[in-house]
Amino acid sequence: MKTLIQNAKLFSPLSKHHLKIMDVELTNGVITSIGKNLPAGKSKIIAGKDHILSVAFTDLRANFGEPGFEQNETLRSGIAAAKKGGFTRVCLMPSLMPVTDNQGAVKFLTKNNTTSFQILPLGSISKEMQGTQLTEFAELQNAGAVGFTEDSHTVSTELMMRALEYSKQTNTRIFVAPNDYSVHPKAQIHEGKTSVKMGLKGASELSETLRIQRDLALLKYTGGSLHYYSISTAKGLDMIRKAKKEELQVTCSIAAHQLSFTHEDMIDYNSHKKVWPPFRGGTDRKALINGLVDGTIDAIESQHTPMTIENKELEFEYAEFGISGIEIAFQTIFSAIGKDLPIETLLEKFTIGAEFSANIPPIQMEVGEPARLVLLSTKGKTLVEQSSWLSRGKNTPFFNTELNGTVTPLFD
Amino acid sequence: MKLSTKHLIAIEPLKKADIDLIFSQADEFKEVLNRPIKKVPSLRDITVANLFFENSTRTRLSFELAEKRLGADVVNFSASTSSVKKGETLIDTVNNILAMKVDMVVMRHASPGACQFLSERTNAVVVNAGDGTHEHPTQGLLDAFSIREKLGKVEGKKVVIVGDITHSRVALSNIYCLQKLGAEVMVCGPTTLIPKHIESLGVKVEHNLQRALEWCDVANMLRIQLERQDAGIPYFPSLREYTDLFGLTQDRLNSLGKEIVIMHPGPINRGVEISSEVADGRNSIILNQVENGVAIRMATIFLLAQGIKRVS
Repeated sequence: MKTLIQNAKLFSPLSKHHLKIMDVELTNGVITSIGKNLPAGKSKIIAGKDHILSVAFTDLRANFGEPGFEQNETLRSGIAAAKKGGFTRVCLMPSLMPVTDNQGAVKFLTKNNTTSFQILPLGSISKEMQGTQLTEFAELQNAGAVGFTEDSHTVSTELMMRALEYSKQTNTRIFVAPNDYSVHPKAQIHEGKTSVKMGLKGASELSETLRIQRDLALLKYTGGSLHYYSISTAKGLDMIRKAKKEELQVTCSIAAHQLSFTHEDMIDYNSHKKVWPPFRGGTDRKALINGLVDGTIDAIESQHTPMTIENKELEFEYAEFGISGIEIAFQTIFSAIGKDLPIETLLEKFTIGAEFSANIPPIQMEVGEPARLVLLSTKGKTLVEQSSWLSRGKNTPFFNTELNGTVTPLFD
Repeated sequence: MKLSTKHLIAIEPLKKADIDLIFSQADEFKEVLNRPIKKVPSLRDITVANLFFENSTRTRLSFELAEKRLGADVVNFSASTSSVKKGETLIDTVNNILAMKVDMVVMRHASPGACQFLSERTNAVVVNAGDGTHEHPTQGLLDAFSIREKLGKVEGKKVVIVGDITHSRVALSNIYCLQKLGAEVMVCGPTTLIPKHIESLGVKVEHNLQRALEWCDVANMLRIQLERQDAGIPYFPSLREYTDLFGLTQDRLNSLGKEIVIMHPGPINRGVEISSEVADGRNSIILNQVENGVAIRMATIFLLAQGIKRVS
């Protein structure tokens, strides 16, 4: 069966057709022709005028619940939600039960991978994420792990040191969420006027910068390779900017929802906005936008954290951190900052920037390649409704809101 | 005259006119409380549930007396959050309240925002009797009311709140209420127990008790609440050192060369934040606060009940 996408602006940074308005023909899930005014024949026609036809997205940080937490998300529901969001590859956190700390666990996650959709598991840095013994990096990598992380757990200095040193020989990357919870115990939101007014413990930028500072020092010493997840502060970003100038092997990403709110928006105690790292202030928000523009921030991650509503619809302090958002990740950040930067810059963060950060081959929009493409409209609107929500995690502050942009996946 | 709010969740969103209205109503009820028969049958058709998810003796008693003196039907529920699965109880409680046709809920809860959470999920009028480290609005009102009674007015007065500001629910309600009435507010306590951004609320910050006392007309001494601090490294080394630095003694008062009003929201740790001599001294209005608490709570409940649809 043939499909013809007509007159779309192509987004494929490595292709000679990048940013050109072209027709693309797909036959049984494979790109069979790219050109101007391609013959329609009996093809199913998709009007691409005023749309962007982009290579599909890669997500650096998502949580599905299977195995162990199927009440939050199954592989099936997570994959469906990811596809809806335009993601064709998803790096999964190892915080599962059992933890992704052995090759069997990696293979369980990748067992349903196809040419059009792949789970890319991250192994845990330590056995059972206990922080005491390294996992078998080489074996996990052979099984399909694309990198190693302790997810949002605190990583001790000793473990980080050992992981960075050891990962050099396997030529793999360490992914870390820079969290120091001990500096502000029980913090619920960003520390500022709003946390004072709400009577909540706040987390200053120190909760992030202390770890970034330490890890960069270790990285400089070991010469390893590191990715920072979920950057939220201007100072943290600055540290990474400087490290990049020093040519340390470091990349970073922000969560797709990070720029949708500031800490002042927390005043209504809506636990659906409770995330970690917390929404910061306006200055941090501006700095993150600048970081996207100047390339300090390489990628945008969904930070998809689905959970049952019983863990969210609680008194604020008792509610868990996290937003379920993989299926609207692009629209979420596009609505927040679409006016602040060129759409091409934003798309790079979901595609080539994420691929570079994960150290995986980029998706190509070339004849003969599998059709891993998404059709985007920047003028269209996405109404976020529970009735059409695919993730099991209904924990989102965006229900019943209209987001800018639409994403139509063109892959199975 | 009506309040601008359906619930009393916090002082912060109240208008000065709301506070003035509550005060003038409280003046009337205070007169009632001094009659031989201390009851007015204003709320005979209203059912009030007192839900206390945290230990409380005097606040619960004060609310219950206020409700009974207004003639309301009263039911009490007490449970410790530690003994039940967190969160579940509150949601279930909401459903129970709706089923039992309760008109008003007075709630104390360990979690900031819990009363707001409840108010968004029930038709009943919600009165916050203290939500974690957020607010304790009726305490803020009765404290300001007591200052007004003692000094004639609140406007222009200088009030220092001394103690653990970080873990206090009284501090925020006091700050907002006093500021709305035109007082100047200072907070004083150990550097570890003053929230970092509290100046953004327009209060002065002082870490030296002597200087704070010299500045103020009124000192509101907060209870040191060890139970509300987190596990982990304590915020100050010992009660002994706390008392030495922040305890209010007669000697300190005598050294001021002026009279200041002494307040305490209770219960008092005698010999810790305040010495017995000061607590029982002639400048102390601690028991007036307790007495005014009933009048203020009667006024609050009475005024909020006007928003409840009733059969005339």
